[in-house]
Amino acid sequence: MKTITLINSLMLSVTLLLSSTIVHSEPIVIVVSATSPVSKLDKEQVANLFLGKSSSFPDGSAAMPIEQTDNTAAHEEFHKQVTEKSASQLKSYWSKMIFSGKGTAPKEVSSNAELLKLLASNPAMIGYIDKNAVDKTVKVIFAP
Amino acid sequence: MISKTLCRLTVLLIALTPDAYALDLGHDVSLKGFGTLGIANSSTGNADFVANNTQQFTGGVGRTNSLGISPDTKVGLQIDWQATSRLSITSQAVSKQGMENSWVPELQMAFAKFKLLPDLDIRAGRLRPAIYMLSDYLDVNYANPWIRPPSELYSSASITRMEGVDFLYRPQTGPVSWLIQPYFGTANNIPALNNTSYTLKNMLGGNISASLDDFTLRAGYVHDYLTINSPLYNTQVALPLNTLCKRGDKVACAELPAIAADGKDSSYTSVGASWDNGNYFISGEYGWLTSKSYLPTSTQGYITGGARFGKFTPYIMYSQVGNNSAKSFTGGSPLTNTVITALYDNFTNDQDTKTLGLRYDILKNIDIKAQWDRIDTAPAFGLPGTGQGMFVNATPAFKNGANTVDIFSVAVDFVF
Repeated sequence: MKTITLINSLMLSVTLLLSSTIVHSEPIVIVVSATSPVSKLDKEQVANLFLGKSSSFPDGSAAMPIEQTDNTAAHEEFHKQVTEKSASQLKSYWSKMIFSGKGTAPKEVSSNAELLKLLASNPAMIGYIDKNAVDKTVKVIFAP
Repeated sequence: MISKTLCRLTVLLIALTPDAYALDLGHDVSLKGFGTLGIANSSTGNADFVANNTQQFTGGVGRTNSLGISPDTKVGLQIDWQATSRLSITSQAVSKQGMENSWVPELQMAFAKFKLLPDLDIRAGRLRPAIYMLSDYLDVNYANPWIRPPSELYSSASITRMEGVDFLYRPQTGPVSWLIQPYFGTANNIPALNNTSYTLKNMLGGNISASLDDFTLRAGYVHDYLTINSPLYNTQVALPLNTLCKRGDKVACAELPAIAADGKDSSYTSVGASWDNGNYFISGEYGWLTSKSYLPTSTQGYITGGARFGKFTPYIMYSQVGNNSAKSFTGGSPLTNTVITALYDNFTNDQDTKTLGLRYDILKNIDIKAQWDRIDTAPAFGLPGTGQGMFVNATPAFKNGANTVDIFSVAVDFVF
């Protein structure tokens, strides 16, 4: 009995420890509200928005990027595919922006569902979700 | 028992890996911070090593203590309030080794930022003038590869704060993203060695950077009217020249207002470039200081590169500073010449540094670095008494010759 508890604990610990490093390479897509006039962006434009290098869509309207928290698979996949920055590079990058008072990191949500709900409320928002989570409230403007 | 320990360990590991960048204090207010715990050792006992020229005259690492935390240890806290979607307020205080053994926190930034257009912000209040490529995050060692920014360049115009305004304009032209940052302000009473303080009135400057893929190019320029309030200058230069003038030395009379730093034109120009593809990076910066006062004109530069192998980032750097001013004054009487030549020599700090280091990312917001610097100082124009480089509190023997000093440092940096 004791042994089983020990093994269970061990496995739980290992799973918890590894959960942040195992990547479910579920494809992600970049989405805006279905009511947004924006129809297409390229990778560079998406990366610039999420890194605060630009704050507007090509038509000049304000853009508001929404991140997923860095424990989500979507977060890892997005930064691997689009900004091409590792977790510590991303942290360094935002440290420069934040502590120089030049910018603030995007707002965060912790799930696809939360993102969909938020996007529906504001056509200026742009986010990324797992491809299979796309519904009719949003439109895909870029797929890496 | 073992399982309990394991569970605790797991919880501890997770707790140590915060997801957020900041502590959310509610009401759109957040607390963020950064810091470094660093220790340095110097191979010389004849002079003190300091990280840059904003540190105190004695108490560095070397002559005062062979080992010390003063060059690199610091902590900074920042509070941001997002008042509306367009208006935010930021204040940042940093505690580090400053002048006169003081660790008293200094308010580095306190400004309001307003979004005029989606790609145009205006900031007003106390700002860090963006004189250099890394100016506005110089203290955030976590954001840089090295233990400390190269002091040869980053000490040349180390104006850490000003009261003024700036604009952040980020247009896109095709694949190129730009940052255009004009600024205007005044820096009052920036403390320096020997109870000296610098005031830069009507600083008018700007910088432009352009990024394309992995490349960034940057150019910056600032002009100001410099006043140096220095008791040492008053007693060792102004007083003797005044006396000589009263005794009929016309050259002393003419030089006194000519060399005085009493609102004289000064400027700093710099160009920089960086390339970073994620796996490898190279960057460099070159700057030059000019002043119509007794402050010497000088040039500084560095070049650095590194590679990221997973969590390990080995890096190298070469940095250098040299003075271009007249080595001696010969246009007057022997006494006038001696006084002015001594003044010129006092500001020479020729040296170069070769750096080898390794960064390891322990967690996504904590790193540890180990670094070896070999610093070579040389007397300017071969003149005795000018060989101290950027070291302070040097013995006469150290000042008179060329010196080679090794600095070994270890530091842990964090951000939250």
